[in-house]
Amino acid sequence: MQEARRILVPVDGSENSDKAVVQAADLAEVCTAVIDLLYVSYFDSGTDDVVENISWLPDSVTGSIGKTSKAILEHAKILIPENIEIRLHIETGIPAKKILDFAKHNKADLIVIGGRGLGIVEGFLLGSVSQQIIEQADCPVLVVK
Amino acid sequence: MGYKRILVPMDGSKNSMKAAKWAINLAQVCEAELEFLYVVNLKGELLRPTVLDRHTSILEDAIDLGKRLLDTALDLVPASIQARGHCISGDANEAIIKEAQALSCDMIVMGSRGLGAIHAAILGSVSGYVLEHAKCPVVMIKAKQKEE
Repeated sequence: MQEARRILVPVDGSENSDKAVVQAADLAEVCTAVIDLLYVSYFDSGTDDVVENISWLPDSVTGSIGKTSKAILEHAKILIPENIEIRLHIETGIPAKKILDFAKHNKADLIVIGGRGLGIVEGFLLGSVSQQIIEQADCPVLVVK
Repeated sequence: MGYKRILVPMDGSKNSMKAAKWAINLAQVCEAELEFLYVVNLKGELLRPTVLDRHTSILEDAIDLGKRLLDTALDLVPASIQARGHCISGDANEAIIKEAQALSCDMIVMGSRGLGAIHAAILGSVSGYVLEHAKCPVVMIKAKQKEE
Protein backbone atom coordinates (compact mmCIF):
# COMPACT_ATOMS: atom_id res chain seq x y z
CA MET A 1 0.00 0.00 0.00
CA GLN A 2 0.19 0.94 0.98
CA GLU A 3 -2.54 3.34 1.15
CA ALA A 4 -5.43 1.26 -0.09
CA ARG A 5 -5.93 2.98 -3.38
CA ARG A 6 -8.27 0.42 -4.84
CA ILE A 7 -10.46 -1.53 -2.52
CA LEU A 8 -12.26 -4.56 -3.88
CA VAL A 9 -15.45 -5.63 -2.16
CA PRO A 10 -17.07 -8.78 -3.50
CA VAL A 11 -20.77 -8.59 -2.68
CA ASP A 12 -23.54 -11.15 -2.60
CA GLY A 13 -26.37 -9.28 -0.96
CA SER A 14 -25.91 -10.95 2.41
CA GLU A 15 -25.78 -9.10 5.70
CA ASN A 16 -22.16 -10.09 5.93
CA SER A 17 -21.27 -8.55 2.63
CA ASP A 18 -23.14 -5.38 3.65
CA LYS A 19 -20.83 -5.14 6.64
CA ALA A 20 -17.84 -5.48 4.36
CA VAL A 21 -19.15 -2.68 2.16
CA VAL A 22 -19.64 -0.34 5.12
CA GLN A 23 -16.17 -1.09 6.45
CA ALA A 24 -14.63 -0.60 3.02
CA ALA A 25 -16.42 2.74 2.71
CA ASP A 26 -14.93 3.89 6.01
CA LEU A 27 -11.47 2.93 4.84
CA ALA A 28 -11.95 4.44 1.40
CA GLU A 29 -12.88 7.70 3.03
CA VAL A 30 -9.68 7.96 5.09
CA CYS A 31 -7.44 6.58 2.35
CA THR A 32 -9.17 8.34 -0.56
CA ALA A 33 -9.53 5.03 -2.33
CA VAL A 34 -11.81 3.88 -5.09
CA ILE A 35 -14.20 1.06 -4.28
CA ASP A 36 -14.77 -1.75 -6.75
CA LEU A 37 -17.98 -3.58 -6.02
CA LEU A 38 -17.97 -6.98 -7.65
CA TYR A 39 -20.81 -9.41 -7.97
CA VAL A 40 -20.08 -12.84 -9.34
CA SER A 41 -22.98 -14.89 -10.60
CA TYR A 42 -22.50 -18.49 -11.50
CA PHE A 43 -23.94 -18.01 -14.94
CA ASP A 44 -25.78 -15.57 -17.11
CA SER A 45 -25.63 -14.64 -20.76
CA GLY A 46 -21.89 -15.24 -20.61
CA THR A 47 -21.13 -11.92 -22.22
CA ASP A 48 -21.93 -9.44 -19.53
CA ASP A 49 -18.81 -8.17 -17.90
CA VAL A 50 -19.90 -4.71 -16.95
CA VAL A 51 -23.24 -3.48 -15.78
CA GLU A 52 -23.88 -1.39 -18.85
CA ASN A 53 -23.23 -4.15 -21.35
CA ILE A 54 -26.13 -5.28 -23.43
CA SER A 55 -26.54 -9.02 -23.48
CA TRP A 56 -26.82 -10.87 -26.76
CA LEU A 57 -29.31 -13.26 -25.24
CA PRO A 58 -32.97 -12.32 -25.01
CA ASP A 59 -34.12 -10.65 -21.84
CA SER A 60 -36.45 -13.54 -21.11
CA VAL A 61 -33.38 -15.72 -20.65
CA THR A 62 -30.93 -13.47 -18.87
CA GLY A 63 -33.27 -10.83 -17.54
CA SER A 64 -33.82 -12.17 -14.08
CA ILE A 65 -30.13 -12.84 -13.44
CA GLY A 66 -29.11 -9.47 -14.77
CA LYS A 67 -31.69 -7.80 -12.57
CA THR A 68 -30.58 -9.71 -9.51
CA SER A 69 -26.95 -8.82 -10.10
CA LYS A 70 -27.78 -5.17 -10.57
CA ALA A 71 -30.06 -5.12 -7.56
CA ILE A 72 -27.31 -6.55 -5.38
CA LEU A 73 -24.80 -4.01 -6.63
CA GLU A 74 -27.25 -1.14 -6.22
CA HIS A 75 -28.07 -2.31 -2.73
CA ALA A 76 -24.36 -2.23 -1.87
CA LYS A 77 -23.89 1.12 -3.55
CA ILE A 78 -26.39 2.92 -1.34
CA LEU A 79 -24.37 1.92 1.72
CA ILE A 80 -21.46 4.02 0.50
CA PRO A 81 -21.30 7.80 0.96
CA GLU A 82 -21.64 9.77 -2.26
CA ASN A 83 -18.22 11.37 -2.12
CA ILE A 84 -16.50 8.03 -2.64
CA GLU A 85 -15.84 6.83 -6.14
CA ILE A 86 -17.48 3.49 -6.83
CA ARG A 87 -17.19 1.14 -9.76
CA LEU A 88 -19.68 -1.65 -10.31
CA HIS A 89 -18.69 -4.94 -11.86
CA ILE A 90 -20.49 -8.15 -12.71
CA GLU A 91 -18.59 -11.31 -13.53
CA THR A 92 -19.75 -14.77 -14.36
CA GLY A 93 -18.08 -17.90 -13.11
CA ILE A 94 -16.73 -19.50 -10.00
CA PRO A 95 -16.81 -16.77 -7.35
CA ALA A 96 -13.47 -17.35 -5.62
CA LYS A 97 -11.60 -17.63 -8.90
CA LYS A 98 -13.30 -14.62 -10.45
CA ILE A 99 -12.69 -12.50 -7.38
CA LEU A 100 -9.01 -13.43 -7.26
CA ASP A 101 -8.60 -12.82 -10.99
CA PHE A 102 -10.32 -9.48 -10.71
CA ALA A 103 -8.10 -8.43 -7.84
CA LYS A 104 -5.02 -9.37 -9.79
CA HIS A 105 -5.98 -7.72 -13.06
CA ASN A 106 -7.14 -4.55 -11.42
CA LYS A 107 -4.27 -4.43 -8.96
CA ALA A 108 -6.51 -4.22 -5.94
CA ASP A 109 -4.65 -2.90 -2.90
CA LEU A 110 -7.04 -4.53 -0.51
CA ILE A 111 -9.93 -6.98 -0.62
CA VAL A 112 -12.62 -6.59 2.01
CA ILE A 113 -14.76 -9.61 2.73
CA GLY A 114 -17.22 -10.70 5.36
CA GLY A 115 -16.10 -13.43 7.72
CA ARG A 116 -18.25 -16.21 8.96
CA GLY A 117 -20.74 -15.57 11.68
CA LEU A 118 -23.58 -17.31 13.36
CA GLY A 119 -27.09 -16.37 12.51
CA ILE A 120 -26.13 -14.64 9.34
CA VAL A 121 -27.91 -15.37 6.12
CA GLU A 122 -25.72 -17.64 4.09
CA GLY A 123 -24.28 -16.19 0.94
CA PHE A 124 -21.46 -17.48 -1.17
CA LEU A 125 -18.93 -15.27 0.55
CA LEU A 126 -19.21 -17.24 3.73
CA GLY A 127 -16.95 -20.14 4.31
CA SER A 128 -14.99 -21.58 1.47
CA VAL A 129 -14.93 -18.54 -0.77
CA SER A 130 -13.60 -16.35 2.04
CA GLN A 131 -11.02 -18.98 2.86
CA GLN A 132 -9.79 -19.22 -0.69
CA ILE A 133 -9.51 -15.47 -0.97
CA ILE A 134 -7.58 -15.17 2.27
CA GLU A 135 -5.24 -17.95 1.21
CA GLN A 136 -4.64 -17.00 -2.37
CA ALA A 137 -5.03 -13.26 -2.76
CA ASP A 138 -1.93 -11.37 -3.81
CA CYS A 139 -2.97 -8.39 -1.74
CA PRO A 140 -3.92 -7.97 1.92
CA VAL A 141 -7.40 -9.18 2.83
CA LEU A 142 -9.54 -7.49 5.44
CA VAL A 143 -12.01 -9.85 7.04
CA VAL A 144 -14.92 -8.00 8.59
CA LYS A 145 -16.64 -9.34 11.67
CA MET B 1 -13.87 7.32 11.01
CA GLY B 2 -11.11 4.81 10.43
CA TYR B 3 -9.37 2.90 13.13
CA LYS B 4 -8.11 4.09 16.47
CA ARG B 5 -5.92 1.28 17.69
CA ILE B 6 -4.34 -1.46 15.64
CA LEU B 7 -2.93 -4.66 17.10
CA VAL B 8 -0.02 -6.21 15.21
CA PRO B 9 0.95 -9.67 16.45
CA MET B 10 4.57 -10.40 15.47
CA ASP B 11 6.38 -13.71 15.30
CA GLY B 12 9.66 -12.85 13.65
CA SER B 13 8.58 -14.06 10.23
CA LYS B 14 8.88 -12.09 7.03
CA ASN B 15 5.14 -11.79 6.69
CA SER B 16 4.70 -10.43 10.19
CA MET B 17 7.26 -7.74 9.39
CA LYS B 18 5.32 -7.01 6.27
CA ALA B 19 2.13 -6.80 8.28
CA ALA B 20 3.88 -4.36 10.60
CA LYS B 21 4.78 -2.08 7.70
CA TRP B 22 1.27 -2.23 6.32
CA ALA B 23 -0.18 -1.42 9.72
CA ILE B 24 2.17 1.53 10.14
CA ASN B 25 0.96 2.94 6.83
CA LEU B 26 -2.65 2.51 7.81
CA ALA B 27 -2.00 4.03 11.22
CA GLN B 28 -0.56 7.10 9.54
CA VAL B 29 -3.62 7.48 7.34
CA CYS B 30 -6.08 6.91 10.17
CA GLU B 31 -4.02 8.57 12.87
CA ALA B 32 -4.34 5.36 14.82
CA GLU B 33 -2.14 4.01 17.58
CA LEU B 34 -0.17 0.80 17.18
CA GLU B 35 0.21 -2.07 19.61
CA PHE B 36 2.86 -4.56 18.59
CA LEU B 37 2.58 -7.90 20.31
CA TYR B 38 5.05 -10.73 20.63
CA VAL B 39 3.95 -13.86 22.41
CA VAL B 40 6.61 -16.09 23.88
CA ASN B 41 5.23 -19.53 23.49
CA LEU B 42 7.17 -22.10 25.48
CA LYS B 43 5.38 -25.39 25.41
CA GLY B 44 4.84 -28.37 27.64
CA GLU B 45 7.85 -29.58 29.54
CA LEU B 46 9.71 -26.34 29.10
CA LEU B 47 7.19 -24.57 31.26
CA ARG B 48 7.47 -26.98 34.20
CA PRO B 49 8.91 -25.19 37.20
CA THR B 50 11.65 -27.80 37.63
CA VAL B 51 12.86 -27.24 34.08
CA LEU B 52 12.58 -23.51 34.27
CA ASP B 53 14.44 -23.47 37.60
CA ARG B 54 17.38 -25.27 36.11
CA HIS B 55 17.40 -23.31 32.88
CA THR B 56 16.30 -19.92 34.09
CA SER B 57 17.58 -18.24 30.98
CA ILE B 58 15.23 -19.99 28.55
CA LEU B 59 12.26 -17.79 29.21
CA GLU B 60 14.43 -14.69 29.64
CA ASP B 61 16.19 -15.36 26.35
CA ALA B 62 12.90 -15.84 24.56
CA ILE B 63 11.50 -12.63 26.02
CA ASP B 64 14.70 -10.84 25.05
CA LEU B 65 14.34 -12.05 21.50
CA GLY B 66 10.75 -10.90 21.43
CA LYS B 67 11.66 -7.48 22.72
CA ARG B 68 14.37 -7.07 20.11
CA LEU B 69 11.90 -8.03 17.45
CA LEU B 70 9.37 -5.54 18.74
CA ASP B 71 12.07 -2.89 18.68
CA THR B 72 12.77 -3.48 15.00
CA ALA B 73 9.09 -2.86 14.32
CA LEU B 74 8.91 0.15 16.65
CA ASP B 75 11.96 1.65 14.91
CA LEU B 76 9.96 1.84 11.70
CA VAL B 77 7.18 3.88 13.25
CA PRO B 78 7.29 7.61 12.50
CA ALA B 79 7.47 9.85 15.54
CA SER B 80 4.01 11.23 14.85
CA ILE B 81 2.43 7.88 15.66
CA GLN B 82 2.03 6.40 19.10
CA ALA B 83 3.23 2.83 19.25
CA ARG B 84 3.97 0.37 22.00
CA GLY B 85 5.48 -3.08 22.17
CA HIS B 86 4.12 -5.86 24.36
CA CYS B 87 6.02 -9.04 25.04
CA ILE B 88 4.10 -11.63 26.97
CA SER B 89 4.34 -15.31 27.66
CA GLY B 90 1.51 -17.68 26.93
CA ASP B 91 -0.51 -19.34 24.25
CA ALA B 92 -0.32 -17.23 21.10
CA ASN B 93 -3.93 -17.80 20.05
CA GLU B 94 -5.45 -16.81 23.35
CA ALA B 95 -2.95 -14.05 24.01
CA ILE B 96 -3.72 -12.26 20.76
CA ILE B 97 -7.47 -12.37 21.29
CA LYS B 98 -7.09 -11.34 24.92
CA GLU B 99 -4.73 -8.47 24.21
CA ALA B 100 -6.91 -7.23 21.36
CA GLN B 101 -9.73 -6.86 23.83
CA ALA B 102 -7.65 -5.65 26.77
CA LEU B 103 -6.10 -2.91 24.64
CA SER B 104 -9.45 -2.19 22.95
CA CYS B 105 -8.03 -2.59 19.49
CA ASP B 106 -10.45 -2.07 16.63
CA MET B 107 -8.32 -3.87 14.09
CA ILE B 108 -5.79 -6.68 13.96
CA VAL B 109 -3.19 -6.79 11.20
CA MET B 110 -1.18 -9.97 10.94
CA GLY B 111 0.89 -12.04 8.61
CA SER B 112 -0.44 -15.34 7.40
CA ARG B 113 1.23 -18.23 5.68
CA GLY B 114 0.87 -18.27 1.95
CA LEU B 115 -0.29 -20.73 -0.64
CA GLY B 116 -0.62 -24.33 0.29
CA ALA B 117 -1.49 -23.57 3.84
CA ILE B 118 -5.23 -23.73 3.36
CA HIS B 119 -5.76 -26.37 5.94
CA ALA B 120 -3.13 -25.14 8.34
CA ALA B 121 -4.36 -21.57 8.17
CA ILE B 122 -8.00 -22.28 8.60
CA LEU B 123 -7.82 -25.34 10.80
CA GLY B 124 -5.52 -24.59 13.62
CA SER B 125 -2.88 -22.01 12.81
CA VAL B 126 -2.69 -18.79 14.75
CA SER B 127 -4.12 -16.72 11.92
CA GLY B 128 -7.03 -19.12 11.53
CA TYR B 129 -7.78 -18.95 15.23
CA VAL B 130 -7.61 -15.18 15.29
CA LEU B 131 -9.91 -14.95 12.27
CA GLU B 132 -12.47 -17.10 14.02
CA HIS B 133 -12.33 -15.47 17.42
CA ALA B 134 -11.47 -11.83 16.93
CA LYS B 135 -14.25 -9.36 17.63
CA CYS B 136 -12.77 -6.75 15.30
CA PRO B 137 -11.79 -6.77 11.63
CA VAL B 138 -8.65 -8.74 10.81
CA VAL B 139 -6.29 -7.99 7.94
CA MET B 140 -4.30 -10.93 6.66
CA ILE B 141 -1.02 -10.27 4.91
CA LYS B 142 1.12 -12.78 3.12
CA ALA B 143 4.86 -12.45 2.58
CA LYS B 144 4.68 -13.10 -1.13
CA GLN B 145 2.28 -10.29 -1.73
CA LYS B 146 3.41 -7.52 -4.01
CA GLU B 147 5.71 -4.93 -2.56
CA GLU B 148 4.80 -1.29 -2.54
